[in-house]
Amino acid sequence: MKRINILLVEPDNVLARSYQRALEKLGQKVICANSAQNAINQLDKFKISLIILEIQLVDHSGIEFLYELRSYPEWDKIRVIILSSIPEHEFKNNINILKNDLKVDYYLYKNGTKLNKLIKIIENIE
Amino acid sequence: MSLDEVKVLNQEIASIINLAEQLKLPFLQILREVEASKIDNQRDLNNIEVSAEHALNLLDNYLLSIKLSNKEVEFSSESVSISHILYESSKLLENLARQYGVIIELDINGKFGPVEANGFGLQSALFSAGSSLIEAVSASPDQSKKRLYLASHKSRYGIVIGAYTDNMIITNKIIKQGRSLAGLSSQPFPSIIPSAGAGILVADRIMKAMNLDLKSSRHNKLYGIGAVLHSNEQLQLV
Repeated sequence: MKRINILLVEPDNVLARSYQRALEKLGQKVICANSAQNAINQLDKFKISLIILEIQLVDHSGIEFLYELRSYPEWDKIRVIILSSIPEHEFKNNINILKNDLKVDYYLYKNGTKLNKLIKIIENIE
Repeated sequence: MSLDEVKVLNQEIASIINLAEQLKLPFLQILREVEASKIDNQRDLNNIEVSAEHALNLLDNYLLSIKLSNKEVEFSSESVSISHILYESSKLLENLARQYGVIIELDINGKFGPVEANGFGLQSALFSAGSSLIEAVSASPDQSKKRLYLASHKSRYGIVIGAYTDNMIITNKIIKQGRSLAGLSSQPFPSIIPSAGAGILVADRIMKAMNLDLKSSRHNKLYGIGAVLHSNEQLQLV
């Protein structure tokens, strides 16, 4: 697995630690952010190749974060996986906006996505 | 079925949906911890223990709130010490706070006499609200202060007991919105809590069953949620 910088935007730090441990064991560098604002700050500091994003955040949602992210040309090519506690079917027609307009590569439901599956998807995305 | 009965039934369904949404989190934490430990061979049983314990406590307090609402359980008022309630609640929240990297601080400096309330009910409500606020404090964009304060103070209405933070603003509007969004949204308190915030809603029900109101509250410069209690005048005089 090629080493990349992954930005994990996850408000629950207990969950974030588990994801970080597993991905770092596989050689990735994982930078954590618990909110949209902190995620923007980390994007300014590090060269990020992939963002794993929970859309249910405090204050600004993950969707607002994505609009902000895609408004900057230098961050336009960053790959994005949404890993959310909200099932995809609850987004109904808006899923196309996420995938087409906001260039989300995958929408994954947290409960239905085992760590091994997430790792395989990350490998494919690289 | 009368309109009032339909309203009550809808509220019950909403509270079950809200609890189900909330319980997904500790189960997911346990599952991810197990999966991560299979990858890095570092098992953290303590994390699993705290997540499971939190889920059970939340379930217990939810059941208590239902039984109180249905009058299957009735709490009698007794003379209780506020400092004892705050101290015991902080002990109950200790492990969860540590897991989330939050420090619990007690403000029991005020010398208040005993209050008329049910000690177990108060402790259950404070624990429930506190557990949601621990999540909120940890998820706050302001990462400089990760503290939950359990405190009491005197107001013109009586003695206020509550849980407070210094990294977010909690208003009555936020609490009111949370009550109305419970069961309809997976995140009824979007400006403060990333999950379902069931702890606050369970605390709300327990307080209501004890004829107390859970409201936004200020303690010095801190924001939080609390309830007004009335002091036991007879014991004050002794």
